[in-house]
Amino acid sequence: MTNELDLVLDHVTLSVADLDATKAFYKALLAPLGVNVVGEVSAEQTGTVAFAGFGIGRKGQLWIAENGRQAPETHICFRARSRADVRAFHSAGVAAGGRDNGGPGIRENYHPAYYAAFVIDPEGHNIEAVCFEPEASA
Amino acid sequence: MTIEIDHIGLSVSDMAAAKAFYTAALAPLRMSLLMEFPASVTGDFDAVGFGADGKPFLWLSSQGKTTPHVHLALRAESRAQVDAFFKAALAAGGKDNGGPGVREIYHPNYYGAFVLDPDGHNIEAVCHESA
Repeated sequence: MTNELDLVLDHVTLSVADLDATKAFYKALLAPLGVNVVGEVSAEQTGTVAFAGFGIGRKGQLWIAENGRQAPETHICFRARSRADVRAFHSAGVAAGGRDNGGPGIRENYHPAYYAAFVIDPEGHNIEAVCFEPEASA
Repeated sequence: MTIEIDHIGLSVSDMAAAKAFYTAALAPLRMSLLMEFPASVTGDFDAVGFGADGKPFLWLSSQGKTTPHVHLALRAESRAQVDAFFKAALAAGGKDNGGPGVREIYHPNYYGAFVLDPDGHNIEAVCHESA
């Protein structure tokens, strides 16, 4: 049986001006969530522009294409398995040169268990990690 | 298959046009308009959320036309849903960007269809099941 939320977002492609820089940033930012580079395609291979895909396992869920800086920016939120992973995501993003766009914490205005953090990537995209689970006991 | 992306927010230039387009195009995928926040609430812009089962996961905000466009693929449960998405999206004014069919280049059961929304965002429905 397919999870209902599984049905919905298959993959997303954003455009960036500097694929290498963005790729390095996302590798650092998303590693705490278990997300890594799962595919890379060169401009020679596509006949257009170079792409890199991020995901868990073999499937790319977030693709970035070197098709120029995108404006207005896009917002993407990844699901984290724990609040600790949300904190690790935020620290890793800021350490990798991302801009703090809201530190780890509950966003009551969304719902009482909405624990999230926000980082702006090198090209202005607003990347979030969210966890709906309670704090894990030590 | 685990889900890693919880939600996404895109910007559009004409919220009324985008709302009408997505309402029609996404209905075959069992997605509907679930939330609306006017600029008076957000402080900046209108925002609407489309989703399923009470949870919005595609947000649109009226912050202007996005350039270059975003590509977004939504999962369909069946090839018939992909067909219905394509038909509904074209009828709602979307531009044909690749009709329903298998894309062997991705994998043998990759059945997708592509439509450009009123702002040029490339919206896809894809089914990974065998026929």
